Amino acid sequence: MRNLLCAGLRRLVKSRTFLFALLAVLAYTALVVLVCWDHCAQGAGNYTLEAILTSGFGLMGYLSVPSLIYAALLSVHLGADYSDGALRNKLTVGRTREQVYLADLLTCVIASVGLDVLYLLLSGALCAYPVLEARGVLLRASPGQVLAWVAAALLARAAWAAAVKLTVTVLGSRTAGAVAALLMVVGAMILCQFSFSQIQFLSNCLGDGLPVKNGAARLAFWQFLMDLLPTGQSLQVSMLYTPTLWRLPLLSAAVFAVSTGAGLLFFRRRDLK
Amino acid sequence: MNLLLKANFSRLWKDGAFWASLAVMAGVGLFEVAVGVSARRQGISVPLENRYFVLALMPGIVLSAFCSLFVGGEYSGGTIRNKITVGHTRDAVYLASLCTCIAAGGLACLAYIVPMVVLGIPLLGIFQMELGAVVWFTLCVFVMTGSLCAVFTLIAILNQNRAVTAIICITLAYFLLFLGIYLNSRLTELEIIPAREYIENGQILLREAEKNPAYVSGLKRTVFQALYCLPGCQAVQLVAEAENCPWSLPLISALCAIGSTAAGLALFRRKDLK
Repeated sequence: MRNLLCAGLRRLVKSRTFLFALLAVLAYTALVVLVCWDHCAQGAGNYTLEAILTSGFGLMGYLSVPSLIYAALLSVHLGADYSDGALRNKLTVGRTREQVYLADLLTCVIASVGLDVLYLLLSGALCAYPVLEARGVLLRASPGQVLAWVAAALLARAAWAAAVKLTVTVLGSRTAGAVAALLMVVGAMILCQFSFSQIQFLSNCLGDGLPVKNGAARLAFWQFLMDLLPTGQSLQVSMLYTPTLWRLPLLSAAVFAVSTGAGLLFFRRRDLK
Repeated sequence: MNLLLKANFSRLWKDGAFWASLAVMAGVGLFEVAVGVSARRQGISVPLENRYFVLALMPGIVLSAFCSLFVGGEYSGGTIRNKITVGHTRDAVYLASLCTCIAAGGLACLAYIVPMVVLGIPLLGIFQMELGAVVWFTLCVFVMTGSLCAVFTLIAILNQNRAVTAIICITLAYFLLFLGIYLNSRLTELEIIPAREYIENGQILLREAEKNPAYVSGLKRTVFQALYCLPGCQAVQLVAEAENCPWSLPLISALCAIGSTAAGLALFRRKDLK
């Protein structure tokens, strides 16, 4: 499987899609850094480095821009295996379907988490000094809390990559995979925004003692939905609002396991023509 | 061109992406009515137009996927070469594809409007806004949809790789929508923050009116305003100013549609179709 993984990573890194994704991530990083520099110079905004680092997982609480970039990258990379016939070649030379699936999955996880880490390193390095100079303090949250947020968001990213892999495996086409993955991201963003508005509304009502039918149960449901969806987890981290941080890694692991299990089951029976 | 249009429409009725687009638009329409009904049950008054205006935000995303799949299918199926081989001009092929996409865009908007009106009026009551303003808003959305279709057709017909076309179109639709949201937030910043009272250490203090550092002015504001009128960003402007949509918006959309069609025709004439 190591050979498959190395081959997958080499093909990914050499592809034009990866180059475009890398440029898109660099452009996104530049945008966040420039806005931060502008705010620091003007004295506008009142955030510290943790807000900049977690912007790598979402902007303004509802825009999961990196997910859009990675959705395009992963779906084109995975779909190419079907259109080029590389998948059949791998099986012909004796690899098992499980090995092929897991190698592709690991490639996706490494690529998406790697690009996230690149964002964290670049934005952290470029914004640390301006933030320190403008605010007098680098972090308002403790370093342990920031690390926990970043770790939870990276795990959510791995779970999200597993979901994209499952989608492309089920659809078995590069174009359909790309469209489905991109629409999935925006669908998740809209759903998370709606969930978040419900959470705010119910929390306010319950906090003020207003009568809401099944208020506590509904609040628990929307919070669970936000925690279950990898995009929901990323957006919570980007807002620095994680009331149930402890369960985010558990749910990410569950999503990863279920997506991988379902994908493996489906891929074993799939007719590769 | 009549034959091309007839062929395109007969393909359209059989196209899964088209029916999926209609289903998504109708589904969102039903969902918005349900949101309105749910809010009403919680004692919050929700006028019908409040849910109706979401229409402006939908066509960009839905049609970016549809146009790239529908027009891209002409390349992957090889039909585009067949059409030219049997004697149709490239201009006719391009315009027929454009007309089909615009018609599909109009039908997608209707798929949102019909459930919204049929179910929304009995459940949420009639529009509280003037009917003329609602019709004008709807017209502006239709023109914007046509303009977006022209841009997506341009991208799809110039790129032979359907997957890449889909990614470019969908990403562009998102980008324009989110750019619109950002520009709206920047352009609605107050120039002067009004004087206000606040309490500190038990004392009531007065903070005088001050200049808002986030206010955008000068050349930057002009650029922001120009970008805000682009078809995708316009969706946000239409929702924000739905009660009194500026007449300039459909005009700008029409100009964008004409410009992108002219550019598309010029580039498609020279394209190597392999």
